[in-house]
Amino acid sequence: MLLTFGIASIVVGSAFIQQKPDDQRSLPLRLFQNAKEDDFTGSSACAECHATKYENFISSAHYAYMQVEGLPFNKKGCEGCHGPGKMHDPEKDTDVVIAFKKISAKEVSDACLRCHGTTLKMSQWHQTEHGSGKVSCVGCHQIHPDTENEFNAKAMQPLSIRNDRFSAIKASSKLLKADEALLCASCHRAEAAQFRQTSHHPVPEGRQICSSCHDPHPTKRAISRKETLKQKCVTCHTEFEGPFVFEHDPVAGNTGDGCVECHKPHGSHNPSLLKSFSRGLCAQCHTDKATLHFPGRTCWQTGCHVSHHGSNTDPRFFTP
Amino acid sequence: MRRLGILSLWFLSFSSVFAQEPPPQQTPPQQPPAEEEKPPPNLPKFVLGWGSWGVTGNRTTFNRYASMNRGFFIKELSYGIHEASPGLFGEFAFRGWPSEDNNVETQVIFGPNATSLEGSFQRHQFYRPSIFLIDRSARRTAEAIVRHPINPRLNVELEVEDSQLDKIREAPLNPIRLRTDRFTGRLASEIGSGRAEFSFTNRQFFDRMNLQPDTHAQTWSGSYLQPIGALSLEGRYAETRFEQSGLNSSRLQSLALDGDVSLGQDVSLQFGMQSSKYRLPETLNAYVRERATTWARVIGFWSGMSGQLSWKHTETERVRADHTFVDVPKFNTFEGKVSGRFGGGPRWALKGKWQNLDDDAVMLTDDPRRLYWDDKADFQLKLDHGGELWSAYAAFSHRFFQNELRDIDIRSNNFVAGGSWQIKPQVEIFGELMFDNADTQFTEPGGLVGLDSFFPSSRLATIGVNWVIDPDTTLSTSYSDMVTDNDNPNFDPEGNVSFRFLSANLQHRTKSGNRLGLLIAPGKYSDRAIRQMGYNSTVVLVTAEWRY
Repeated sequence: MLLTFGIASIVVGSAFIQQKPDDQRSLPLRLFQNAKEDDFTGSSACAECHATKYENFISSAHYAYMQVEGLPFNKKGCEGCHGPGKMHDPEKDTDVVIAFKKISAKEVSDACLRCHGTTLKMSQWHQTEHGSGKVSCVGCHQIHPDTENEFNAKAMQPLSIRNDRFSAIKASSKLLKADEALLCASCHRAEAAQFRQTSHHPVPEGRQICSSCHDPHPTKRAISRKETLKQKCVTCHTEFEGPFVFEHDPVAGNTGDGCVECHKPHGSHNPSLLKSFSRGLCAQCHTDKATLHFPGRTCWQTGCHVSHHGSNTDPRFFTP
Repeated sequence: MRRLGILSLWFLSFSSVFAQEPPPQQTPPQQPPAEEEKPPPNLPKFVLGWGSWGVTGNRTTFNRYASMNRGFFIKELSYGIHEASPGLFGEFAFRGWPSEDNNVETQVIFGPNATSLEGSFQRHQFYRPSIFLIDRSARRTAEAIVRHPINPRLNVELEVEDSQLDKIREAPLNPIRLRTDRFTGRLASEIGSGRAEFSFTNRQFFDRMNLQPDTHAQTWSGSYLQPIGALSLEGRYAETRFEQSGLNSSRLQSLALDGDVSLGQDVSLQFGMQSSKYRLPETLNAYVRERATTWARVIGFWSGMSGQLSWKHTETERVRADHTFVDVPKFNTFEGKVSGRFGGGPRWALKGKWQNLDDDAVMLTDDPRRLYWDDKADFQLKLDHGGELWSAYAAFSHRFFQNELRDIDIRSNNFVAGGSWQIKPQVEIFGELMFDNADTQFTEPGGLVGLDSFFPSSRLATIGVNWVIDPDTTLSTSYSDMVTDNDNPNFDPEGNVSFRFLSANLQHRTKSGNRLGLLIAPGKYSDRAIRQMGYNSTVVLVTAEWRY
C-alpha cells in the first residue's frame, strides 16, 4: 500500500517535471538538434583525414543498415554518429565532434538511441545491470571493424575460454569488439573461469555463446529480471518445461530459483552442472532422506526418481 | 482465430499509420559522396585442416560436449560481400565438413531498405560419459531470422527455429528424443517519445519417445513505454496458453508495470510490480496459482563511485490437489552494490544479496518440516587493475543457505585470481587460479555419513606463455591442472576427477598473407573412483588458411 502510494506520488510529481533546458542536454542531443543541413559535409570529407576508419566503416554491417531509403541526412554516414562535420575543424575554434571514447556513457547512449529507439529506450537500458553500472554501447560494440583490433591484441587474449580444437563454432555478432566469449570474460572473469571446470555449458566448444542465454538488450527475447529463470533454460531444454501433473516445486521456479536451485549454469566440478555431488543434491532439502533412505547412488541414476524435473504419472517422480 | 484477426488488424493499422508518417526531417537524402561508390574488396577465406585425437581410454568422456574434427576437413570456408552502394553486406561461413560436427551461418543485409536475413544450421554430436557402451547423442538446430524496417520507426522481425535432440543416457534412464519448433513474430515501434512492442511466439514440442505429451504453447505479449518528463513508465502484458495432448489446456497471464525516475543529476529510482496468474487444471500437487512481485531500486553516483540498493518482495499463493488454498510463502530480497576505484587506479566492486522467507510455507510431505531455505545470502568482492604491460584480477564469492527447521546450513566459496604480464616486447605470460569449496555441518541422526561428504572442493590452475617469435610467427602455450577433493562414499563416477592438459599452438603467416597452424595438445583425464572413465589423448591439428 505504502509503495503504491509512493509510486503514485512519483508519477504525479514527475508529470510536472519540466524537460531539461537545451543547455543541460547531452552533447549528442544538442549537436544534432541545432545542426542545419549545411553543417553536414558528407563522409568523403571525413575520409580525407580518417581514411582507414572510413574504409573499415563502409565494409561493416552498420554501414549497410545506414543506407535505408528515407533516412534523414543527419542519420547517414560518419556524421550520422559523430555529428556535423563543419563543426569539427581541429585547426579552428569550432572543434566539436562526438568522440565516443571521450564522452560519458550517458552521452554515448543518447547518440546511439537516436536511431536505435525501436531496439530499446534509455530507461529500459537503465534497468539492466550494464546500464545501471554505466556501461555504454561502445563498451561492447565496435562500429569500425578495425583490422588490427586493439581489444584482441594483448592482455585479453589469455582469458579466452574458447578451445581451439573445435571448428563448428557459433560466431559472434559482427558489431562486437571481439569474440563474444572473450569480450564478456574481460569483465566477468569469475564467471568465465567457471567454464574451465569439468562440467560446463558448451561455450568453450563453440556450441553456445554468452548471448545464447543472456540478453544484454532487455527488450530482445525479453525475460525481465522479475521473471523466473526457468523460462530461459527451457528454450533449449524444452523437455523440462511442462506444465506437469506433478510439479517439483523448486524446479517450477515460482517459489525457488528454478533450474539454478540445483544447477550452476556456467560450470561446476560436479557432473551435470550440479551444485553438490550425487545424492547430496537432493538431501540438502530432503534431509530426512540423506543417508538412511536407500543409501545407494544418485537418487535418479538408481532408476527411482528419474523424472525429478516433473512427472505426468507419478507424484514421487518414479516415471515420466 | 479471433486473436489472429485482432493481430492482423493491429498490424495493418500500425503499418498504415507509420507507413504514412514522414521521416523526422523532411530534407531529401543526400547523394552519397563519390568515394563511397568504390566497393571494398570481398573476402573469400578457405581453411583446410587435418586432425587426430590420439585417444586411449574412455571416448565418451573425451567427446562429452562436442566432437573434434578428425582426418582432413574444411575448418572454414567463408565469403564476404560488402557493396557500398546501394548498401549490401553479406557473409557466409561453413565450418567442419565432413566431420560429425559442422555448422553453416549466413547474414545478408540488403539495400536500399536494410532488410536483413540471418540463417544458421548447427549439428553437434556428443556423449553422456559412461563406462558402458553407449550410443552417441546429437543436437541439430536450424534457425532463420528476417528483420525488416517498415520505416525508420517501425521494425518487424520474424524468427523460425527447428531443433532436434537425441540424448542417449545410461540405463535405466530412458533416452530423450525430442523435436521443438518455434516461430516468433515481433513488431517494435517508436510512437512519439514512447516505444511499443508486440510479439507472438508459437512453440511445439514433440517427444519422439512418447513418454511426455506433445505440447503446443502460444505466447502473446505487448508492452508500451512512455517517458513523462523525468519519469519513464512501461506496462507489459503477456499470456501463454499450453495445449497438451490428452490433457486440459493450461494458461499463464502476466501483467507488469516498471518505472524509472531521475531524482537529480546522479540519483535515480527504479520500481515495478508484476502479477502472474497460473491456471493449471491438470497439476495435482502444490503449485503456484498466483505470484506477485514488487521491487524498488535506488542507484547513485558520487565522487567516482557508484552504489545501488534494492528491495524485492514476492508473494506466491500455492494450491493443492483439490485446488483449495493452502499457503502464501513470502520472500523479501535485499541487494546492495558499491563500486569504484582506489585513488583512480585499481577498480573494486562489492555486492551482497540476502533473501529471507517468512514462515508461511506449509508442507504436506511425510516429514512436515519446511523444505524451503529460510535464508539465502550471496556476497562478492572483485578487484581489477592493469597497466600498459600487465593486468591482474581477483574475485571472491561466498554463498550461504540455511533451513533452520531442518537444522542445516551450507556455505560455499569461490576464489579466482589471475593476471598477465608482458615481460618482454615479444613474450607475455599469464595465469589463473581458482578454488571452489563448500561445507555443511549437517548429519542425519543415525546416518552413516554426513552431508558434507557430498560437497567436494576443487582447485584449477592455468598458466601460459604467448611468444611472438617474429612478426609473422607466434607460439601460444598453456597448461591447465585441475583436481577435485571428494569423499564420494558411494563411489559414483565423475566425483574424484583430475585433469592435466598442455596446449601448444604455433601460427605462421606467409609473405603472401596465408596462414599455417600447428596445434599439439597432450592431456590426461583421470577418475580416481571409476578408472574406466579416464582417458589419455594427444590432439594434433594442422591448418592451412588461404585468403584471396
